[in-house]
Amino acid sequence: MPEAWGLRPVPSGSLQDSPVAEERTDAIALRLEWMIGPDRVRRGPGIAIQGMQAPLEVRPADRGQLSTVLALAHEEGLAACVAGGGTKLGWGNRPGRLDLIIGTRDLSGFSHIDADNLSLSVRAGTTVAEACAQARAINRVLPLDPSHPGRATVGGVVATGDQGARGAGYGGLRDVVLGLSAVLADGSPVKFGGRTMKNVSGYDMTKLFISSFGVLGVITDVTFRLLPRYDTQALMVLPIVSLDQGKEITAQILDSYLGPLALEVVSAGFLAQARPSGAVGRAGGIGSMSPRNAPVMLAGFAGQRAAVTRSVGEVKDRHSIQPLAVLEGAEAESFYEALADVGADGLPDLEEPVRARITAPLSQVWELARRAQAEAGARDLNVEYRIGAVRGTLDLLVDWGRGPRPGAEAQAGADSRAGAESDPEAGSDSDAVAARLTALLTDLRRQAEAVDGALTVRDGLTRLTQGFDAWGAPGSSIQIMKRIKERFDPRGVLNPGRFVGGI
Amino acid sequence: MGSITSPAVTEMSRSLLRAFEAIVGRDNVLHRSVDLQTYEYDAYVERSVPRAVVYVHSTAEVSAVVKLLARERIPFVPRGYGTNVSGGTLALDGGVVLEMGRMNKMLDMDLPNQRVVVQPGIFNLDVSTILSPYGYYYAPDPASQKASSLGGNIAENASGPHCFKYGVTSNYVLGLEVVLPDGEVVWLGGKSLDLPGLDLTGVFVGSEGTLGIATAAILRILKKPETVKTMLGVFASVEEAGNVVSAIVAAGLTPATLEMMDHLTVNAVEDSMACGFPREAGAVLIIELDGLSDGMEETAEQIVAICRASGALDVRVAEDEAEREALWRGRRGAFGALTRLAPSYLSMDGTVPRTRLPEALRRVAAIGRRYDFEISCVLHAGDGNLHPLALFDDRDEARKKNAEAASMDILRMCVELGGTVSGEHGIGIEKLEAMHLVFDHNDLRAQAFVKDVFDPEGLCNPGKVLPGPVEETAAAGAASAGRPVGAGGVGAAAGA
Repeated sequence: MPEAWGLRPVPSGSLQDSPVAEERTDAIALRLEWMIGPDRVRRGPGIAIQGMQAPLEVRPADRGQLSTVLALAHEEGLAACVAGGGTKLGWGNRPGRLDLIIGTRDLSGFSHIDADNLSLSVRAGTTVAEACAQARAINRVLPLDPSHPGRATVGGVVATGDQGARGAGYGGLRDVVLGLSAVLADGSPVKFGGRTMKNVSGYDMTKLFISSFGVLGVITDVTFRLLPRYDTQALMVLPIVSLDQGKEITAQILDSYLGPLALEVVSAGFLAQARPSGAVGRAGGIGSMSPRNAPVMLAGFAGQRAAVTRSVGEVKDRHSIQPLAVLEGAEAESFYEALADVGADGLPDLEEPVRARITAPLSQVWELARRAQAEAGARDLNVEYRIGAVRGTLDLLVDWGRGPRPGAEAQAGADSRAGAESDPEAGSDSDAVAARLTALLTDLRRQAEAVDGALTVRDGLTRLTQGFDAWGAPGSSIQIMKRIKERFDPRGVLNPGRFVGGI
Repeated sequence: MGSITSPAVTEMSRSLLRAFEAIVGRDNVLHRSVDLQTYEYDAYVERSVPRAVVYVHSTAEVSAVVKLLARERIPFVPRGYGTNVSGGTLALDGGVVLEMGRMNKMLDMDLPNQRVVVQPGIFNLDVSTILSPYGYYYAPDPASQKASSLGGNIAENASGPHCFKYGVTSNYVLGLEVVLPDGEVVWLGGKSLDLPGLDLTGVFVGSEGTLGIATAAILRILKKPETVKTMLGVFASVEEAGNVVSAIVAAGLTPATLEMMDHLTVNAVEDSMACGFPREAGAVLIIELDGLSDGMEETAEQIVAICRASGALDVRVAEDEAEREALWRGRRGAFGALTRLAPSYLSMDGTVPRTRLPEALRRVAAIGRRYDFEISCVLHAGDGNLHPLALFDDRDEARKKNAEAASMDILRMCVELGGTVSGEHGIGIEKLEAMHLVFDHNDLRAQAFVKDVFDPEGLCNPGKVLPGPVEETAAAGAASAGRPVGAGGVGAAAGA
């Protein structure tokens, strides 16, 4: 392969095959070793991003080293992807090219802890679980509830805006970040926002970096607002007979004075994947408590004891519904964590599902969930779901369910799709399954976009027909986004091609 | 009062005026100097006469007017009701003002999705007034809410007393229809949360009208709380009241508001509208709780206990809605009341971490003494947001200069304590220099990227927010690629 290292798009992670590229890789590796130390540079294929592997991985020790690495990448026009805990490598589109993985795990710890000011500054490579534990240690709550908190890093969660069940009470990432520091694609260190709730000094650049999927810069440090530790919390697990009933109860709770910390409707199959520790887990999980294969509603409340008691009582009485369980304190905590961790070690009962999140106006998610089930059934696919009723999210796990196993279909002689070669797990798929999965997601995306929502693929893009975009149709502001990317990263160093509209 | 109008201002050409009139109608274009004087100032201390004022009524009109201005390379600025306190709505260098006040409708009320769509000229308070019968409200409540427009609130990322618990404007604006500086119309964000892509809505809110003109906004609305309880704590000094604020926050309590007024302010308020504040108070705190009625009594008792333990002279609970209204009328009218005391005033705005409030207040008093001002202080204490106010006679240039110097000293102090130079008033033209206190070259360069992408010709509210042109040089860090940088090279981020 004649192309020079990283100077133009390369279809797959095969730079190592080219003697020219190999020479160049050696030279770059030597420079990196000299700059940040040989133990911080690793040669050879390591982490794969959607089947693509980088010839080099670096783990800068601090912000200064990160700045040097990015300056070099900028100078040489290298394509770099950022990896923290590696929980979201399947998110976004396949990179257009990939020369370098930048690991952020060593940028860890706390740069500022201020319990009385209700703020906490966390370095990007710290895991969410570590940061939450630090907040707990000072009797505060860090309002983050992303997937896989034990491995997901703060930087990754901020860069992707990932928020889960308790987001109903916490708000989204844009509501809980007060300020952040980053290193731009050319190596220049920047800082925005601060440690105060109110801050209108200059443009709100913090917002621009949250959920920007790392295409503008590498986040190095984030300051969060903290919440006081709640007195009491209760998580009600309510049996419901249908999505319609879920919608009705939700509408009434939203129109009441109650302010839920979490309000979710979860399909039985999704719930079965949640394995909380503690008594509930030992009893076989919540899923085993449900008498039928019906969805359950989770209504969480936290705060003062009297307010929580009132909330739980009101939900029970108003809807004459007997909870399967009301979890309190550590049991509730552990349940939220288990829910957030679904799929962390693979999914025991599902075959390599595609994960997707739909965001939509909150009254629309019910119809979308109903449609997801119906359309999946019609295509011989199985879908498990989880509705975030306050923020308007619908998380989907889609697999081939009761249909013929893909291994059998693959033997029928279908060509494997591009990218499948380097992804051993995807090799067992077939075009037929891919086409069914893709058709389902295309249909759901059309429905979501028709109501001003979106469907984003979060994992398993390689199992879909090639060309299916992870993010969907960009809105009318895409040209502005592209121009911002060009100004911040003119050489396309960071996550090239992985974000919305090919950014 | 100084005028910063450049002498290069020329009158509008007749043909251009005709072109504006063709778009918006003859009665909607002002160009005679007597008409323009109303638009030469806002609530800041400087003045600048615009070249013309155009009243716009629709997105299409805004787009057509802006396209014309872009073609002629004439700068422009959107303006609501002129309540800006940092000079953000002044049309510099002969710019044209687009007066947004006629676009004041609520376009859609979508209660099942907890959203409304409004035009920018709607008064902040009107949004909640319209929603009230349905049990909903719009949370950000700047003290100017009766007089300020939602579009202005968006431009300034306004907040209010209740932002301590509920957050600021940007937490409630989910989508915007924007006329870009070249006249094109785009939508940023939308009704759904977390739409994929860069959060352009987030960066537009608070951009002080420099990135384009918002012509419609999708807002998130909230259910009104079941119960509200308002208390008044009376203290001998601002430091004592400041200590109580820190203690309440440290105890893990989250009142809806924690507002402070000092002795001077309390008396000015009482002189002008008699709201029942004790004149002998060194400082008062307005503490409001909201939420479920269950447990509220208990929280109120905890707060009373904290106040008492810190030496409160008195703690009162508003007995009814009338008493509560009176307290808030006084608080919201505080600036107005103070401004009766002198021909002019400079309202300052800085923020410190709330734990540093007592120290910040001591230092404000010291700075006041240094410049021989009696500085009054109104504070969104729960957020660590201070509004010292220097009263002076603006015919005395030296006093005005001194007020500005005192303001700069106060901002420097806020930054030293870990805070920032503007909590809610914006940078405008007032604090361009102060931006250097919080941002270095790289930080400003990144902000300039955003301005340049939205407004490459620099026509949209020029001369605001960003201090001067930031040259296109690469960062210090970027230049060091060829040499080793150790752990101490650039240094770990500490100041975020």
